[in-house]
Amino acid sequence: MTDSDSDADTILCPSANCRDGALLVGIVMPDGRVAFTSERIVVDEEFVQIARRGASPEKRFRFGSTCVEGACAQWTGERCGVIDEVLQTVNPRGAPGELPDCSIRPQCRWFHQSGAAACVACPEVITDARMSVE
Amino acid sequence: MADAKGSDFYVGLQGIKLPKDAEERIANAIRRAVTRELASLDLRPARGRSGTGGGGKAPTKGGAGGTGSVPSVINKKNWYGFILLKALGGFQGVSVDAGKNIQTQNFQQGVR
Repeated sequence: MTDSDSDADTILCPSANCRDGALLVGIVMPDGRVAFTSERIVVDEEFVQIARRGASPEKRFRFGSTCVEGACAQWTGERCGVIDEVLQTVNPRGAPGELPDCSIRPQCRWFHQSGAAACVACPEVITDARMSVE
Repeated sequence: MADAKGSDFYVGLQGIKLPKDAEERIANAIRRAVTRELASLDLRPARGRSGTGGGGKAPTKGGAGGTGSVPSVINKKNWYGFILLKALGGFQGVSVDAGKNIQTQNFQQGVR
């Protein structure tokens, strides 16, 4: 996590890549949904190295990191295109008002964009959804 | 004691007041061990591992995010909620009931 990540004003991507300094946001559970941590867990280099030995860590975990806006292919010019697409395609298995605990919500790009609706759909999102044989 | 399950041993330590420096050394050792375990953790459904469970698109090159929904299967209890999160959370927020069912409030399953 960079110094700017810890700044409360920094907006964080809730579906970032696994890298030294990223925040561990959640773990993909046996039901395919993400369980979130309510505490900030910063990923270190050792974690990254071990995680890279197995299946893509972005398939198994969710990470948070500074939203880079225009430097990201998902940026549509004014907003993150990922959560817009998620809200169009995913049918969340939850009711609004029952938001999961989340360590980054106040700084989350998706929450800033779409509010609680993003939080309801968020557990359904796997960062690396590419098909692969493992 | 050597024959005891690690979790029982750990539970047995509850309530024992250790010197601060010892507590910190133990906490750091646990943190390193937990980090290693956590990094290799794969709780996904078996078919997700084989690559048939994901329904989403591949993330765009250079982009951080991709989307995908995975079909629901049985929601099993997360045992790792105990050891991983208790350690990472600095031994906070964990309780053990009379039946030694360990509760953690750190990782919480998403909206049910």
